[in-house]
Amino acid sequence: MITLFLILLPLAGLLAVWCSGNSLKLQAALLNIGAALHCIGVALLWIKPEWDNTLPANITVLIGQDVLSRTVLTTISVLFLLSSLQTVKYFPMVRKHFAMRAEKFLSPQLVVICLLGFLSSMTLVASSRNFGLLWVAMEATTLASAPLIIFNRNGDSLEAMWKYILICSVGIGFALFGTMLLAISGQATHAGMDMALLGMSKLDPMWFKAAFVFMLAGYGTKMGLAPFHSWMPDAYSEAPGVLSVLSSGALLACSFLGVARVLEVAPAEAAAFCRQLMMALGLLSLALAAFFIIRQQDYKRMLAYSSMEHMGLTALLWALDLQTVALLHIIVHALLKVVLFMTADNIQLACGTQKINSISGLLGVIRRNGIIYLIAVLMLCGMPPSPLFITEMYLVAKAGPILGAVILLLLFVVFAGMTYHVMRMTMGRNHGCVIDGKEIGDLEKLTVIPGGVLSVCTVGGILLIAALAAFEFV
Amino acid sequence: MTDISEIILSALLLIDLALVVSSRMLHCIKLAAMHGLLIGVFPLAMWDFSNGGMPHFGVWFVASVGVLLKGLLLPGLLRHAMDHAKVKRELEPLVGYVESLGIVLTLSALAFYFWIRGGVTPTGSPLLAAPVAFTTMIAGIFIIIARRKALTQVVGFLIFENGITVFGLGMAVECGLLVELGIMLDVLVLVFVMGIAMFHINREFSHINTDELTHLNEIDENDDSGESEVRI
Repeated sequence: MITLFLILLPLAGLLAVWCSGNSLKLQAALLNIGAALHCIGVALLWIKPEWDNTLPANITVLIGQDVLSRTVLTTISVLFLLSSLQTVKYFPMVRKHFAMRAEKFLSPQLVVICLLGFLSSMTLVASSRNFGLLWVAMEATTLASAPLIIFNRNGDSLEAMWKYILICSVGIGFALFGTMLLAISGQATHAGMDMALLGMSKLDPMWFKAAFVFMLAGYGTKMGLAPFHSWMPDAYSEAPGVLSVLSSGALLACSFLGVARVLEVAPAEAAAFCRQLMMALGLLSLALAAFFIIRQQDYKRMLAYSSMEHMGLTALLWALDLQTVALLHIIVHALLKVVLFMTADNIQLACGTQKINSISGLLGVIRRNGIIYLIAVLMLCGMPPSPLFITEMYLVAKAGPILGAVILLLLFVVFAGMTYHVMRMTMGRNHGCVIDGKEIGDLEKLTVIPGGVLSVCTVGGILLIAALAAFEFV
Repeated sequence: MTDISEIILSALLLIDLALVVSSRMLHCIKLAAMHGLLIGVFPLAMWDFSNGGMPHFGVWFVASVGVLLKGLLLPGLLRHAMDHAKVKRELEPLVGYVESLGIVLTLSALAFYFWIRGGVTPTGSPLLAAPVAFTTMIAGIFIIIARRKALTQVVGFLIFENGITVFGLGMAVECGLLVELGIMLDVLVLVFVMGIAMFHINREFSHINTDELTHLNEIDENDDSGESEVRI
């Protein structure tokens, strides 16, 4: 019952916003209430799982929860709450800042509608128990998030949106083809696309391998795995930060769930092949991201490539059978991206540019934003006490000497590239950022959420390292 | 009733090839509409009337929604977008029409050859189903890659999606009613969103040539202040 509530609640909110007319306060309130209720619902899923089992059987074959889906759902819900809280503060500021062009921006009503639609479709992705439904929901996430990319309504954002929608839809089309192949691989048992039935039945390894290739390509496109990543930097650099937060944290986790679900039903004969394929794509993503980060000129694109890097790491972790560690990696990456994209938005408002070269001395202008950005980048690169340090350490330890060395080298390149860019942005003497004192105050106030999330990550990391040291797990 | 289904499959194959060589937008859209209509009635043609009796409600429902959506509504939307964008033809395709036909025919022949040599068709399914589905998918992807106009790319996507549908129906994949309707709804909304995007692209740039959307890339020569320039 809770699952159904979680899917329908944002849709109800969406309808309410549709009918709300032009009242900004009402829309903001509806968005925040929806996000908060969603969070409460997800918490109930953990506390009272038995409340979820009160649905008729023909619905429970389609939607349901397990540990994996609950974890992803929690990530989605927390991220959505954080970004909705930020949205209602940030967008009015943008409109004030660009008062000349404000009527060109996407209307607040449409932003809220798209956000709620996005939440509903992501919830459906996380809780679907049927590969066909998973596909339908995944495509719906693309459609709900696409309009948000053209928030600025200029040429660049249109280009980014067109690439996003075309590349993702074709990619996802391949996933649909893969889903059909998967159904064929279980045709002897008439399992259809039901995950539980497919998991129990004996699948044809040849058909399954073909299915996995297409589904990995399809959901990998959505996940931003190389070589299907080309939409990602464009979309993240053009979209407003709150969308990038959801896209980079929650949506990537959802797409990853799609791949993980296919691996769950893999027959023993095909499992090794699937893992190797996933490792190859993971390593390729890591390598390409390292290359693009080091020669990056745009700090939002840099964050996009870092998402690609971390998805590569997650794929490697999952392929090396470190599922719990991979989930931890996804969660921490998502939280750090909340911090980074939100502060990147503030920096963009303060300096009016996304070019790394045109920004310096942030610590002298918007001190709090600068400090948070700097620390978050260091944490994202795996500097202890970041929890990512632990996940990456497990990865290198499990990967063996040769692969481990390659991964370490690539991680070092990413670290060097990101810190170089961020040091240049934060240190030195300020030039280029001309902004009046009142607005600086407003921008510094927007650091409450990123700062809070960053502290949670740091404290969590310290506790985790202490616990591991105390019990000598490694 | 495999006879009718094989006729439909052959017709689909011909439409694929015609689409690859047609330069007029309206012609493309009409062909896509025909493609959609045939895909819509395909589940009925696949139904085994002699053994199964009359098809049940689900089959009729999916078929009628398919005909309405793919045969009438989506082409109508595209037609509307075409009138707005005031484009009639794909004048300078990235790959010429004769070359396009050659490439798609070759790939199609390969699909047929390999399927007939090594493929496994479930009993009761038409032998043509899988190779025609592959050809349709190839033609769709090819149109997306080799044509410049946003509108033609949307047509390409529709054809690609139709190819996947033919594969699913032809190989007797059990999707379930809800999933099938969900897929159709997604495609509908997708074309709608793409249409809106096209409208904005047309207004912003005064054209819908997607190969000229190249402002976002890694090396940015013109270091402007984040404002986009409008190029005509």
